[in-house]
Amino acid sequence: MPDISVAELSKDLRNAIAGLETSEGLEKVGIVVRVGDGVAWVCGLRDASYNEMLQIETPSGVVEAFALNLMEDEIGAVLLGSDSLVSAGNTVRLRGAVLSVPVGPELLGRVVDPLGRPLDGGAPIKTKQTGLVEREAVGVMGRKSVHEPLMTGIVAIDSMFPIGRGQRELIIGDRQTGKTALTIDTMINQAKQNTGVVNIYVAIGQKSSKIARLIERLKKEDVMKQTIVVATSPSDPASLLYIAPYAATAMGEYFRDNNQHALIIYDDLTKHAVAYRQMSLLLRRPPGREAYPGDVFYLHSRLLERSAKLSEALGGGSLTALPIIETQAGDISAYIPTNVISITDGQIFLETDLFYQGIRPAISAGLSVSRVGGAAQTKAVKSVSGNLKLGLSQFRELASFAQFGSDLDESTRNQIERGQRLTELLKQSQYQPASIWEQVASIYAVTNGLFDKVSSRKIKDVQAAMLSHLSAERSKEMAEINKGDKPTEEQLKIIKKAATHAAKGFEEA
Amino acid sequence: MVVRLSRQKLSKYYADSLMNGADAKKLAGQMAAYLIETKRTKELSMLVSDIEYQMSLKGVVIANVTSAHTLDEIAKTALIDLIHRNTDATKIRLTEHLDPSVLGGVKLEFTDTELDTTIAKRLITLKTNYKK
Repeated sequence: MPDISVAELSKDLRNAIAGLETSEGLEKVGIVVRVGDGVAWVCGLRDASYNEMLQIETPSGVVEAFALNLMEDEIGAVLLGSDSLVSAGNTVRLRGAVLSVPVGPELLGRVVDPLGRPLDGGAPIKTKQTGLVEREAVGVMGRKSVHEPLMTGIVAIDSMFPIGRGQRELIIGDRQTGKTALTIDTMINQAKQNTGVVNIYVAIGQKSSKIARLIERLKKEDVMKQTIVVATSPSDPASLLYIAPYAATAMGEYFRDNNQHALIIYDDLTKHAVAYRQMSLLLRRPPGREAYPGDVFYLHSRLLERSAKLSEALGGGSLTALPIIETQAGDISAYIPTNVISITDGQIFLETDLFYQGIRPAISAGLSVSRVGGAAQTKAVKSVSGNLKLGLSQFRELASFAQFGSDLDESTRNQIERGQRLTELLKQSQYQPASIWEQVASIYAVTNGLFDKVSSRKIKDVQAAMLSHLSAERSKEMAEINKGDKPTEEQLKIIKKAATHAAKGFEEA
Repeated sequence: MVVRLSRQKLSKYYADSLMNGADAKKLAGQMAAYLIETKRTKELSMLVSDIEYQMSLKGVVIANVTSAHTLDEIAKTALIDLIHRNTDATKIRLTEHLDPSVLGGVKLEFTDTELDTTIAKRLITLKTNYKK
């Protein structure tokens, strides 16, 4: 074997690299031809590639942009800063790199903009790594089917529409129906249950006051330390709103690729599509349905495809996505809602009518579905919530018919009364996610008729009494159930006893 | 009606014609007439830059060098050598411009490429970094 000196090898390599680097400080440049509405048209830069970063040299400093429209004579670039600084004739330089953002654990607990710049007034963020904003999703062989539960702490979701790690579950509904509240509770639950899941919340064009309230709440619940908030407000340029979810996904992918689990919430993709429509129209791209460009489906499909459960060979990490879509007057057949419904692995539909009837979370049992989460449902919850969804759907149908007459046979009346109790049970206050054992005990008590003699109005009281009794007297057994395994006969007997005992105090005369 | 052609096509036609020995004055007259007819006279400077690019593909590079003070022959030769190393140019024409606003250093421009070592550029970079 020849004698190889590492020092010489290193020197040879350095010389070879120096020999190949022929740029000698030369840069590719172009000229801004026209600018306006956050878009600059640049002449020259024939080597620019799609999504490549550009630097526009203005008298007040450098403004960054990225190339989106590559045409024969000029390129359309979307500005990441204010267009008031840029004017025709400014020199544009190719940065030779596509857009990337800082990624890593240093971002935890911070509020940043889509470029990773701090917005919370804290110290500058220095990460060891950066991640590409636009990146190809993991291939088929790099994935594994969703099989681990991601507990939201919301009884209705965990029992009827379970979400697994790596799943994309859409939260859809009209304005003011509790979409964001649902996701905040899910984030809080990750901290309360010590799941180790990192939360990433992306506010796309959300009011700054709403983001401030959310951050305050996350701090209060001690969730912020495992959360990254990527915030954009309606006053930000459309380009920032456009890259926000991609940048946040890059931040989430860091945890996914490092054998960790992350949850990303896109609040909301309707505003994201609107920002993209604005950019596309300004870039003179032909409008299609509802004036959205032809590639609006690809806009969201390529984003959500990056959320995945990785195979064991790749470390088994996961990125779970909860995109939010706002509908108009409950119309889920509009363009963007149908697109995202077809991309995701299920949807939680929130109904305005239910919300105003006081049923909160206002989850529609009929229109909601989880296509892959069944395999990931906690065995403990699965064992007690078998026919819950069917029963609830049947109850809502029966209840609407029952409004027309009072002569109902006993079995129908019982079914309606059981449904009413179930509906009451599934009501849940905000910021109070339930642990596994609380869910198991509550569902078991109602579905097994242990609260049948209690009026539906008092269900929450009897539930609270039962849970506080179990928590105080049987904490060891409940901790066992909390591990997620199917409850033993012995454990179910304990729940039955506690439920019967609690119900006695609330029975109607 | 005159067909609207892209600048790339126009510049390629112009460069090809020049290289094939066409009468430069006649060619310029034809191009001017076309630009007036299609109301594209504002694109003139961009068209010139496109023609320069097309010429560079054929080995003819027209370079501009801007400095605060007159350059000596050694500096000019170094710049020509630099262009030779980075292009397939067989013929290089270097035009010198004096501009005190660059403060110091040189700015070399040729076909979409730039080498800016001026103090003015460094000050802009400093300004941006300071803002960040």
